[in-house]
Amino acid sequence: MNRPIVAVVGTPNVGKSTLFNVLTGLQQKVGNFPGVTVEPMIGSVHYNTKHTTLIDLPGIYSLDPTSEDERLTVDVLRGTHPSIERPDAILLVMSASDPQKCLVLYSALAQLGLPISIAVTMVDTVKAHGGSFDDIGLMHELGANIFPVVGSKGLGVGDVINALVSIDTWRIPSPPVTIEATLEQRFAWASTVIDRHVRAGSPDVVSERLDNIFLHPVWGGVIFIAVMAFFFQSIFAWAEPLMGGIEWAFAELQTVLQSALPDNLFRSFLVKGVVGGVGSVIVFLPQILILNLLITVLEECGYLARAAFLVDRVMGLFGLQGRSFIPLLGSFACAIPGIMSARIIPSYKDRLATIMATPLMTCSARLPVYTLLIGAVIPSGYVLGVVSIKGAVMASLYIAGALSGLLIALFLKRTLFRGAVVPFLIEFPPYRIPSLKSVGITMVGRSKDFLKTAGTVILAFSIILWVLTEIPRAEIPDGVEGVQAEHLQIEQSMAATIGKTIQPVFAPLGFDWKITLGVLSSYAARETFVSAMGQIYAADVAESDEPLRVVLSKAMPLPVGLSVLAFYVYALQCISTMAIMRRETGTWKWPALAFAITLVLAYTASFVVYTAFSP
Amino acid sequence: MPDLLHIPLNVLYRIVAVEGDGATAQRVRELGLIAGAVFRVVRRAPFGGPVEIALEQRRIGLRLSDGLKITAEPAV
Repeated sequence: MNRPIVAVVGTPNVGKSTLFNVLTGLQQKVGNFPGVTVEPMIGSVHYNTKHTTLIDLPGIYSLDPTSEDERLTVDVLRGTHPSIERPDAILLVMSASDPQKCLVLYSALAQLGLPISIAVTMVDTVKAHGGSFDDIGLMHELGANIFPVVGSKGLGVGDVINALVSIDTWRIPSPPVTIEATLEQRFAWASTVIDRHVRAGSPDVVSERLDNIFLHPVWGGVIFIAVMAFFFQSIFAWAEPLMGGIEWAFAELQTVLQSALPDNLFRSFLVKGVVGGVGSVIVFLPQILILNLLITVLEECGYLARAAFLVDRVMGLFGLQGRSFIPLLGSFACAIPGIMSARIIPSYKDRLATIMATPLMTCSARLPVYTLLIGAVIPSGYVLGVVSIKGAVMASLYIAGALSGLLIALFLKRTLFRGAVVPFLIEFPPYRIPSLKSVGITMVGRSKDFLKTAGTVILAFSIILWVLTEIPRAEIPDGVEGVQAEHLQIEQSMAATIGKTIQPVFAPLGFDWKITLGVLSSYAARETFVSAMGQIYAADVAESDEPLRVVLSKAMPLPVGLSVLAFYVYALQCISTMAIMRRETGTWKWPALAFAITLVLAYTASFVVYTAFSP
Repeated sequence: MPDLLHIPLNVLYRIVAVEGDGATAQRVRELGLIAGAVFRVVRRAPFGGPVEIALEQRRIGLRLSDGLKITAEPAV
């Protein structure tokens, strides 16, 4: 017999994903933001050799979906989803502290003809606040099993698992209202049920007081700006010592390999191609970790939903709504999760406009490039005595990207995606302390993704580039050896030939063949620029015994450096981002358009910057 | 009949009608903002931003627009 499948269903913010984690032990992100569970997670429970498959579906309020992730849930429950099998039963997760909307959903689910059991969360909170919840009475009234659970403490979980492995004992409830019942009638029914079985505790004063501060017309805005400032500041300040440590470790490794191995091609391959190429990228792991830590914490504690409320008016100026803020902020870490989280935007046109803006948010892959070039070409010193020039340039790159992205969204909303504004609507989750476990799971996942890219795409390109710099073997005259020989080799290599062939295209932007090669290799992944520069300038680095940054500062005049920076602000150099855009929009049209728009912008911006700063 | 933009803060009101079509009006009603529901407007974001509504145990952030009109009367 096949394993039975049970769908875990509930309205947003009832602790559904937490319960799913506890039931299956399967690790998965717990969102505190409505609709964060975008991909259905599959897990299994077993008890006494009996097994059941659980599928965690995105939260819904009714069987009339208003967004993409809700449509998935409804399609699966109705059995009309093309790839996901219809479940055999439903485990409805209900919050005792807000049972009304859950019962309204129940009244719709009861019409599907599937057996239903109900897990009730937050019973402990309701009782702690002086309320009561009569689960036995509710069980008799609804004709469905009711299991109070405290997910975080594991209480009642055993009973649920026990029930999940024997769904043949579950009953198909008789619908409490007719299938044509209006929402008003469903709410009226829910209210009578609540009157009989639930007494609400005192209200959640903590959330109310926090909202009075965080959503205050003045202080709310001040706190929002402070949070954002802290957000970007910490990415740089906290990461610095860690990055220094990683740089040191890779330099040591190179020195050790250099002295331990005989001077041959293999050593060059290992030191320059593998360690040099990958090391120059792994250095940025701390920044990526910190960025993801901050976004996850903001999301899980409930602040992100409030931030969306605060910025809704500003987003409105760009034809977007508050919800678009979430994917855009996430895109500062990486456009891929950003684009996926755009599924919480109900309107298709708003969703597309937001997705088209995400690649212009400064993702963490641009950071290595910015950090290297700013370190190399921007002079140290302070503006007004406090703001470092390097910091100011970094900030303006972030602002230029974000503003341009929003303007593109506005332009698209005024042209291609013209349509009625779909108003902002969000349910605030209660504030809560983020769970260490789920933040940890997210961070580990993101680091794995990053290291996987570093270990595959970037390593592969690093090796290809190494080969291109080593063939064909240059004719080295007698008496020339060491670093000078390396110079001759790279000048006559295949890499130089490719760079010099394409260089005329980028000549108006001030790029020489070395930069051209770096920019081209960035179309595999942006960070590759750093490892490419590391390899192309390896001879100079070895010659001067100084870090790449210092070598570049001598090789690259200010106008060229700024021109390259401007190019990276705009160019969509990320195959993964384009693939995910294709998946989320269903056609290559939008990634192709985004690629074209950003390429034109990148070329124009670089040209303008280079011309303006050239003497 | 006053709408959500013009009723005093933190005073209990009862919804008379939710007008508008499309996804937002539907979701507003699914969150319990239906005729007869008693709620209060907790705050309005400055410069014509969204409003925050307290209803039952829910807190809802909502921007009113041409496509959505909620009228209400004092509940007491």
